[in-house]
Amino acid sequence: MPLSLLRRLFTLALSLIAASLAIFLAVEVIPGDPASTMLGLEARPETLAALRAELGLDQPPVQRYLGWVAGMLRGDFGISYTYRVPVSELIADRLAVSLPLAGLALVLAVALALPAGLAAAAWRGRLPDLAVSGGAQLGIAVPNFWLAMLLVTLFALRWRFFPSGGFPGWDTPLQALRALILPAVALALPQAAILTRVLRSALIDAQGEDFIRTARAKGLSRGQALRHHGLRNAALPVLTLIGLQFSFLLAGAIIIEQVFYLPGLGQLIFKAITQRDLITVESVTMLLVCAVIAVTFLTDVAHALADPRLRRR
Amino acid sequence: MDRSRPPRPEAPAPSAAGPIARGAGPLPHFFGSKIPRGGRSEGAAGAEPPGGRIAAGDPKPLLTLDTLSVAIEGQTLLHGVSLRLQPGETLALTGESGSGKSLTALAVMGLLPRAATISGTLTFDDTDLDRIAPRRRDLLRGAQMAMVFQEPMTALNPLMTIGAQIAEVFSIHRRPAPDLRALLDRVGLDVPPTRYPHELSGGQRQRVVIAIAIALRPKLLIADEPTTALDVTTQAQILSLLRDLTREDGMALLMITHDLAVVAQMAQRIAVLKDGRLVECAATAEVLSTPRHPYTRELVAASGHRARLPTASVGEVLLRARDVSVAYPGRRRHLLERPLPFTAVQGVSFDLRRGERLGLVGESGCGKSTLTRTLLGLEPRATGRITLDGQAVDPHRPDSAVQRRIQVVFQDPYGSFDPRHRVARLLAEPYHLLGHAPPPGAIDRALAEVGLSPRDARRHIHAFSGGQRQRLAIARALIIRPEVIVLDEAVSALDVRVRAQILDLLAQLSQRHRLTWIFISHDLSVVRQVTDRVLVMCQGKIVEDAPTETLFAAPRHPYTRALLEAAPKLPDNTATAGPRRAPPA
Repeated sequence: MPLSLLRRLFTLALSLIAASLAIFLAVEVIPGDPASTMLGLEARPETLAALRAELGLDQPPVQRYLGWVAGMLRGDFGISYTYRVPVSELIADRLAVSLPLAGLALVLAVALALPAGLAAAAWRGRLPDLAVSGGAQLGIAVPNFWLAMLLVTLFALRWRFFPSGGFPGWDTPLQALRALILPAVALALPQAAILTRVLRSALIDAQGEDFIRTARAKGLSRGQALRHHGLRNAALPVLTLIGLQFSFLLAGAIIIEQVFYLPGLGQLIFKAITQRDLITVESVTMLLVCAVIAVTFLTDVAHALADPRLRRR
Repeated sequence: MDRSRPPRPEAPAPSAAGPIARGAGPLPHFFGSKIPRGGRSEGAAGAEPPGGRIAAGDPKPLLTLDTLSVAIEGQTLLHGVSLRLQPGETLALTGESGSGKSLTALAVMGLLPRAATISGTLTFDDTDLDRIAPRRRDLLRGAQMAMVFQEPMTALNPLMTIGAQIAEVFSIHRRPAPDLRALLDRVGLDVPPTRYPHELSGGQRQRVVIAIAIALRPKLLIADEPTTALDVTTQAQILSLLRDLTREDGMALLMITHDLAVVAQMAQRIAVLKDGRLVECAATAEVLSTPRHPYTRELVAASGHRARLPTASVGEVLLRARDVSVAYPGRRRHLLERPLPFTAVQGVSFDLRRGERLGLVGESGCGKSTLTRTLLGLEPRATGRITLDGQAVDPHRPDSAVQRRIQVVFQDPYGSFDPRHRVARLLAEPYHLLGHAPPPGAIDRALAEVGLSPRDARRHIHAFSGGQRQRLAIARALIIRPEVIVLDEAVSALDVRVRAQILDLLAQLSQRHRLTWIFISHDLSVVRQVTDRVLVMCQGKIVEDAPTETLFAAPRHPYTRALLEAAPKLPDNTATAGPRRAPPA
């Protein structure tokens, strides 16, 4: 275990370095100069040069790359070109929204998918299966922004259970949570639909396995064998999917954030791109890469914990 | 479970060929006790199912199948099977693949797929199994009746320790937690219960499955081909374990197997199934020595069949292997430790002469397959020297001039053909080694040689049965007249009658073309039929190299001796002559 863990950590470090290089180079080759964007077309060359020097844009690329990486390692992501505040502060503010939102959506998705997938697999081809499979189909087909608008119309405007948008901050935790519920539901439903389908087919596959027959030969009923033996085995592909979904939920919530006026990570990166706030783009992208790699790593560890065949001395 | 109960016919319909019952088991009722044991009931056989009916005065059977039929999606797979099993008795259920053996077992266990509908009655220990509540039916399993399956590699939950899986039987049936150590000892398994299935060998896993099955001392144990997936020495151990356990616990054993030699060792009675119908049911010794039903006669004859191989006329050395080794890099256990390589083949040297038919035997993991790949020039890690007719076989420089001299027939007749192509194209594949298209008539001749019709050239592979596919594989291997054919477990996946036909075909072809082959198999009885010389392989080394008859008559190496002793044999008086011969009166 320690050796394979070590090996995995090594590849993890390698992929982080590769990702940072790729991000830096990509931003480097994008046409457009942040300094001229910030000062406008009429800016005088001297002012432009002064700003470039201030931003460090006049230094050679290798030095800028190393400086950027070294800064990140210290937790210093630089100063945002447009907001003129440290990028790390910007990210921390946005993460306070995006992280709980993604987590909440994921918990909701799993909580919906688990019973639905189990029911569909247990009553395969019958009414519960048809209902769940039909619902899942619908959940995948409906775009989540439309779902978000529907939720706002019903739960915020008509019945006034939840606010229709905005985020009050975590100073009032209850209010903050209420503000996150509708966006989390809008994000969770399509993910739950995908998860349900994968869980259902994994469970149906597991039901055909020889060890389920062995379990039934011991005296378990069909349902017991499915819950006690099928579910754990079906959990392995589902685990992989959950890992992928978390990464997506963290960064892919831009549209939902727009609909609900949430100051999340997605909005930050979207605005940073339109305003050529390259340092922010770089840093947020790098952060997302880190998150994806970390989640993948955790998924691997979870796999190893769940499956003794992956645990090697 | 969906179950329909169509009205039961008054008398079970006899099978087309006319089932045959004999009085060795419980007697048909109208014979009463006047017919001595072993007496014949052939005259009345047409009216009576072979399993017989319950007669007054018989010991009360533990399990009774009365005109049991099973249909799945409108297709009837089991037709009115009647059978009885006495407490403590071992009954073998035999027949070829698709005959309904496993279906019968699953019906008894109540483990048929949901789509199955059954009719007829199943009585177990005075309980009509159809009339009890599903929960009670579930709880009969594991406690009163238990089952051991064919494939031990997949029969256990990979995520649970073997101890937890054994203990589960006790918790399901609300019994106090068991002494796992004692249970594992009882099935002869000396590993801790904290092991996971993947840490055990196939034989060890089968012992775990058996431990689960016998844990609550059921009255009935059903074993569905319990040793088919195992090596011959492991098979001998598992069979002896099953015999001991049934004797100690007085358990009845319903043993499903296609292997009559295994039946001969295990069962008091044999029931023979063909296409879902019971055709014969009688005492083991009788069925083997004087089978009554034509199908049983064929089956028994095929089991003892020996292909007539023409005498070899051996020429010069064709294939020469010198000091061939294959080592795979091992797994590093510690950062600072050098990984130990795993040597699959170790210093193997042998010569194969023109016209010689060489056997290669050994148990799984002995290096047979690796050596085979090496001989075919497909193993890049091989060291040593292999020459074919003087030319080097080098995996790093594949040479079509060498490759066309050696062709191969694989075990799996289903996986070794591309399903999208027609037979004509499949058979023409080896011609790419010659660099030209097959000459006109070559495909037709190749098909005719293996007993198929030229019309078959236009068909796709899915239209052929397993035996026909293996004929096609042989035709493909022979079509460019290679010097050497490698037959890698070429008949292992076939039913016994088809196997006999394919072995006969090989003998014929050998006669006609003076073929040279290497026949790789785990099955000693097959190797004995079609080889002149045998190499015995054990842990990567060749431990014995001897003419076939010498090897079987006087094995020298202890491993060879162990293999031969473990192989199940048919008794000497088995009716091994051709199926046409009339049974002795």
